[in-house]
Amino acid sequence: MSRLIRLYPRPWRDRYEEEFLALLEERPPTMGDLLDTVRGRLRLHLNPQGQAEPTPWTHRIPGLLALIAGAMWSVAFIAFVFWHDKAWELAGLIPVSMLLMFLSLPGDYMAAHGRQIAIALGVVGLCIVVANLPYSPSIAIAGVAGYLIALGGLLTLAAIRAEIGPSGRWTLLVLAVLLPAAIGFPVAFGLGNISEDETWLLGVLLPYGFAWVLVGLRLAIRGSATLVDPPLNPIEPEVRAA
Amino acid sequence: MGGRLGRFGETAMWILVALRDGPHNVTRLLDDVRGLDGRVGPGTLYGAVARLERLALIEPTTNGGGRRAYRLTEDAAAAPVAVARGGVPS
Repeated sequence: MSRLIRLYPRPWRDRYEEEFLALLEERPPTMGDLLDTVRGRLRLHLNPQGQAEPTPWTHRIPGLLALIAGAMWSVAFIAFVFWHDKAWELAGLIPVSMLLMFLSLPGDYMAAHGRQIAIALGVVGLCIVVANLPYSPSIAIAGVAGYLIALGGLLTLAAIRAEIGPSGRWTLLVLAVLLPAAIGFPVAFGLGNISEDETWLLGVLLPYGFAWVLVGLRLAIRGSATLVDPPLNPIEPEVRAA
Repeated sequence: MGGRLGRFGETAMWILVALRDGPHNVTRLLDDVRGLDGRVGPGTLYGAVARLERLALIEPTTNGGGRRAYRLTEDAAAAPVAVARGGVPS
């Protein structure tokens, strides 16, 4: 049973675990009680802070922006590779999707993480400069590093806002950014010759779009306060302290 | 039922009814609520307790044995009726 209680978030456990276990000692749980404990955890997950009021629709906006951004990013790269006659028109979706990614991190969040975001923007700018320089291995390496820092950082910030835990964020970062880059870029830049075949782009960049779709879905379902919204039902001080 | 208490509204109402007799520890609370509402599990009970506590309708106290118990707050006098109507007292 104590393993089931570990499913509950840390603040909840700090506050209620001891008396919960004492209760189970006095009233040994039946199979139905075990299922009820799991169900209680799921309800808590769907309503993480015990929000008593429905989430305002404005709290869905960041998640929807992230969701749309991920979908646009994915569609743009699929079209770029497979739909050559419209490739460049559809490639215009990429900067739009990046703009939406930034907008999904609203004002209060921008203020709290301004330094990191400024660094990420600086790296993006550097990448644009580097991309226009003549090809050389060192420039290619710098470009890839910039890519990893900028896009990976952006995704990580969104994942933090979506309240994805550290292990989840690392999994996302590895599967959506690091692993595709580790496999895709060496193939693409093998021996200094960029492949004529553009399908490698899908392997490297599609996981990133899918990751944003996932993060956006989570953010939209959970809701996230924006700068204009007061916080929802702040947790009681003693519970927060616990 | 219990709009602001979500899926725990019905159990929360029975907890408030049970606590009108005075402070209860959770074991007695579980027994009383089960007596009123049939099969209530510990997960549902604690979900309701946590929400009621956060809404300041119940508060922890200690019973004679030094064990934590819960009692109604002053704000909770009209709570069972209000919760049954789908809200909580402001």
